[in-house]
Amino acid sequence: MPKKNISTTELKHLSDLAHLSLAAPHLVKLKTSLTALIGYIGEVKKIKLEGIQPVAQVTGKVNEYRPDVITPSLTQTQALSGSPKPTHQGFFVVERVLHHEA
Amino acid sequence: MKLKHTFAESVTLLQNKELSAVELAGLALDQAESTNSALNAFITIDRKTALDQAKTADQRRASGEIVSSLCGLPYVMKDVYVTKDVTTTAGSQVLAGYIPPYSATVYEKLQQSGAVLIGKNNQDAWGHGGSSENNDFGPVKNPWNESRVAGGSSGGTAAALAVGAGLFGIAEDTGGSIRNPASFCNLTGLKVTYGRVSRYGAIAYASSFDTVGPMARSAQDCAAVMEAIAGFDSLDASSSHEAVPFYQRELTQSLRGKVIGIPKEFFTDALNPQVKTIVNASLRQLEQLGMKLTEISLPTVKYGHAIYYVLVFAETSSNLGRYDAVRFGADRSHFTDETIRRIITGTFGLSSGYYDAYYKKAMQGRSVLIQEFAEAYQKVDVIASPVMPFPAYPIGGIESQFKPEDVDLAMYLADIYTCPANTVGVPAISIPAGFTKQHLPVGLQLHGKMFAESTLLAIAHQYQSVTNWHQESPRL
Repeated sequence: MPKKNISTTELKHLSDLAHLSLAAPHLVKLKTSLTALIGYIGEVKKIKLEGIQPVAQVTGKVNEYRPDVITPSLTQTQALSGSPKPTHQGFFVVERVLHHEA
Repeated sequence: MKLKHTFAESVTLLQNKELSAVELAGLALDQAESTNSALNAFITIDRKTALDQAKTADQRRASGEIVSSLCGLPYVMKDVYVTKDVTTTAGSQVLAGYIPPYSATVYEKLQQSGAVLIGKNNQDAWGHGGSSENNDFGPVKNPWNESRVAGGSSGGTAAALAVGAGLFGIAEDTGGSIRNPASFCNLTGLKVTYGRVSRYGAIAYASSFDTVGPMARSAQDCAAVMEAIAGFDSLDASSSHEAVPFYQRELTQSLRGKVIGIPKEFFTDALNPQVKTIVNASLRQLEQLGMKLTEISLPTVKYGHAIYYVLVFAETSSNLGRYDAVRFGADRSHFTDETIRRIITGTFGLSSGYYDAYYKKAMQGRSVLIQEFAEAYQKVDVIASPVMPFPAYPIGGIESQFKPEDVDLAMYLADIYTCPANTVGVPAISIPAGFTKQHLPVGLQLHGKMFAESTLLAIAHQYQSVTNWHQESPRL
């Protein structure tokens, strides 16, 4: 089976998808090891799989319901306690995602 | 002074009021602190929390309350569980300074039983590794030989227990992370059936593979811990409603006629010859206990590893997506190289154009593997294998165990015997089975049917009643 070589463009795309900003030397190092790793996991293509259903978990459980009642939960102060930035009027402060185009 | 009493001796001493929980905790804390510079087994040793919990345990016993046998026993916990008001890192700087506002169910249950938390153990960050070298806190050293790895990812828990810094440990197993360090440090470690113990509050690596389980000096100790931690939890929808057995009572069940399957795929030339000899000797010992050995075949297990890594990397890329430095923790630039490699590979397998070729195929492969194990269990009660293909290797030196063409993949290939149990969901136990010529411990692994932990614990217990490997301790 031909080895899947990961290009720098592909690697940039993957790191964008994963929200990781990687410096150029890091990308070079990663490229070699990823090619080996992806080649290895590509072994899955050799398994005879016609007609086999995929599974996402092993329990066979479908749904697990609980009574629709309010149960104790974190207070707002507790929920905000881990924020690395100062909070604002009981809210987390996040990066702006929408930008106004002039 | 160091904690020299076993789990069972400590229970008796506490019951007879010959020793208090505070005194026991003090011994464990002293041992944790005095060995930590040599072993690096702890990220956090919390004397105040430990002594507070010990005082409460003593009060509960003094009040005449009917308490669990764990009440007052010191234990250690992998730093992958959130513990209210106690620093939690998962071995990563991404969580530096994080103090959880809530607790994992396993920690809640142990607090209810009265057990005393001594500290939180070093590990591979997020469980990403099999040697406890991939983290931001330095490698854990093996107490049997400090130049070697303790195994991983729960290496700190194993190293701490081997030197008596606690009487049992709670670790986490996604692809061998309890069994691997148990075998490298001469402990008994149980990877439970998926869903047997609640995962609520366990920082996720790969959610459909992660399991919470005990590690201790003996199978009997693990059985006692299982009674306290197993069971359904409404906070973990994947936890099981299956009734929790009295594991300790079932330790002495008859093993006569039980059949042990030996997959030929697990006993190839890739196995270190000393490990092979030790594992074979332990199997003969099980035969003398009345069990039968038979060769079986699990043909797809040779792809088990590829299936496993496609799926766990995909799940970890998704799980680690939540670390965005908004609600807690530091930003994504703090992941280690190994974690970045896993996130990127997982993202690749899930990305458009590759999903069908990798992720979907691996999910189908998982079905095949589940089916092969189910068919094998029609004929056998347990399936035996080594735990690790070699004994503990030098820190920074995993490559030395592999041929040059496999060096890039060395870390992953080391998990070959432990991954299948997580892919399939079945329980598996690592049992001390002997030592190499360099006096490094070697473990035997037994896989059971779904929810058959009591069978595995019974076999391990009866093996431990005719052998004394598990009683050997390192010098520290």
